[in-house]
Amino acid sequence: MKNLLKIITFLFLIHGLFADGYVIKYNNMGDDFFLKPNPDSEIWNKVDTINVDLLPQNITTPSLLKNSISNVKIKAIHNKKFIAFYLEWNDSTKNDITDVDKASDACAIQFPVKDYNSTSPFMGHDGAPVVIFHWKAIWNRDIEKGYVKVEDIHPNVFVETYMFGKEIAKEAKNPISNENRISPVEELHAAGFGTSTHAEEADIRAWGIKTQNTWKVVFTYKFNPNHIPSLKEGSNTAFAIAIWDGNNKEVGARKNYAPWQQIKIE
Amino acid sequence: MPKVKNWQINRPMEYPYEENRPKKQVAYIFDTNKCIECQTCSVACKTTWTSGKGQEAMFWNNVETKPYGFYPIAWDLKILEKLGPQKWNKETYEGKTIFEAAPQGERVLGYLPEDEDYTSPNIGEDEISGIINKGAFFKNVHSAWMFYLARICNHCTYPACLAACPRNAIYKREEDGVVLIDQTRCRGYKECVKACPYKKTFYNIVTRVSEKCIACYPLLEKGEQARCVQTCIGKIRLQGWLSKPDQIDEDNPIDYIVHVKKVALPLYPQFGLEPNVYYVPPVHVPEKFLKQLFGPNAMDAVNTYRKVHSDKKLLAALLLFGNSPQIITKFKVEKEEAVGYNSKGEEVVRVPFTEPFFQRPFFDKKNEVYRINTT
Repeated sequence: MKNLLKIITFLFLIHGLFADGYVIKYNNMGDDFFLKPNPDSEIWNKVDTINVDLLPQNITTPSLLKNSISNVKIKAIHNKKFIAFYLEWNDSTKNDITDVDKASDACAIQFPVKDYNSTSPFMGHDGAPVVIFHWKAIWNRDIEKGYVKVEDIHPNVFVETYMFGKEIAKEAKNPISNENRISPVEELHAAGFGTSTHAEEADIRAWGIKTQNTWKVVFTYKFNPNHIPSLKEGSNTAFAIAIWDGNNKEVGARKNYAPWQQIKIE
Repeated sequence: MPKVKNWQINRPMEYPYEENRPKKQVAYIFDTNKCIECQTCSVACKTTWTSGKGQEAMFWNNVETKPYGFYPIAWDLKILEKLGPQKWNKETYEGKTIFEAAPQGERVLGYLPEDEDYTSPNIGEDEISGIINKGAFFKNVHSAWMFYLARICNHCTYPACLAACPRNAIYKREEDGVVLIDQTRCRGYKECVKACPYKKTFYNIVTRVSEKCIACYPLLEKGEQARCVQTCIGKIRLQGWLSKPDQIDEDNPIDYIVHVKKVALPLYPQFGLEPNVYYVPPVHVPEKFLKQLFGPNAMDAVNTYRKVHSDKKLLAALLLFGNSPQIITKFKVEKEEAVGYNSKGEEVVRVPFTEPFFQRPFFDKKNEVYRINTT
């Protein structure tokens, strides 16, 4: 019975929320707008907005039982060469640091590699992969202020020696431990729950700006049909969204999400 | 959820994955009666594995004083409180394990410690259970007690960290049962830190991923015991291989102590993880406390241990502790000696039941000096 309800919910979510689709309009602007993503750019004031309701991820465990963020404003635009997505959501706290009891604010936008109608919005599935662009506030901070050090988190720390010390995950080249990050966004590939894997970054960029009560994040991507075939000029496709509230210790599957939102790229 | 057999609670239990025991299971026995909390094990582990940036407050091995010592703070009290009162019926646990008590949306009942919980690894050190009344000095037995509990990752048969990881970044090695976090795949979600009831997975704030005890597997692979075991000056530890409960080898010292004599018991078996560090319970601690920590057989273990002087084989097994760097897979009693063998059948240790006693004259004629006992 529970599974049946999940399937019905799933079908409703992928077809019901945004039946007509959002049209991403062409705008003959220079590449600089895309190469230096800026959420405060005045151009965004002229772009149509859609409000997308968010749900707590409780399809799989670990879950978020109650959503901490109820909706996200989304705008998008393209110039035939690049496409840009603007996300804005309410968040009264800035969480851009890490510790055992702290988590980073974050957001992600997901695209189907193939037809969205046959791709699960929940991280894709076997044979129907997805590509995810994932932005984190802590990565934004890494670039603005440098990679977070122990002293940044614990200003009074005293350590006599780090002799023999190793940072194994760094040596293992875990992308999460990359202290020379040049972008606050990473690309992930997934084909089902628990499969998201860091991918060599495509031509993607992102930047986030925190105001008192909101996060504004812009993703930009250079069209590449070999990379994401569904994302190209003239196509009808979809994207899905996830937002994490670090203040609520949301990480991984504990997130606010919206399933496929249909789009037409003009 | 699949049902798996957990011999420590004497019943099947729910676990997110099917039962899949490794070919060999690494196991340890710690004799709490011999531990002096010198922390040599903690230092050996720290200098070997966790002296890097982001590991400042990280102790894969720690020794805490019970009842008031904890690392991280109140780790066991917090999970016991969450689990609530549960029941044993003789050797069968009738309560809920942390897998069976998982709340909606969770795989495991757990909690995420706070940053400050790791900042006082020696809290409660040497504190006794209560006030010693005036005059108690003149009585033979004190009512207050304390003991030292050395702790490492239990390399559980049913690890909660592994069950909780949504990325399958934690795995149990088929060849030796060691539980590891894949340092290339972990994304630092801390689900394992939240799930492990023993709080033996740790978050590294510099690498931003989780880390844990690796059972010194480079040594294991050479047939040697872990650093914390080799360096223990109190000789309280033995590391080896624990057989499956239906394949007990009486000549394997770990099997003999754990399965045959049942002198060493798992820590908090009621959590349901089938932990593989076994403790000889302290003989002077009240029954109620021991049963909560080590299960319903705690007093039987204490009674057997108290009679070890008349049980030559058990005595021999216990004498192997700390007397060889090598993993002892077989042992036997030969006259008044305990003899241990490695996996190749080579003799690696021979320990007399009674240390030889030498009495030297008070006056040393050769050096023309008097011998004075300075200790």
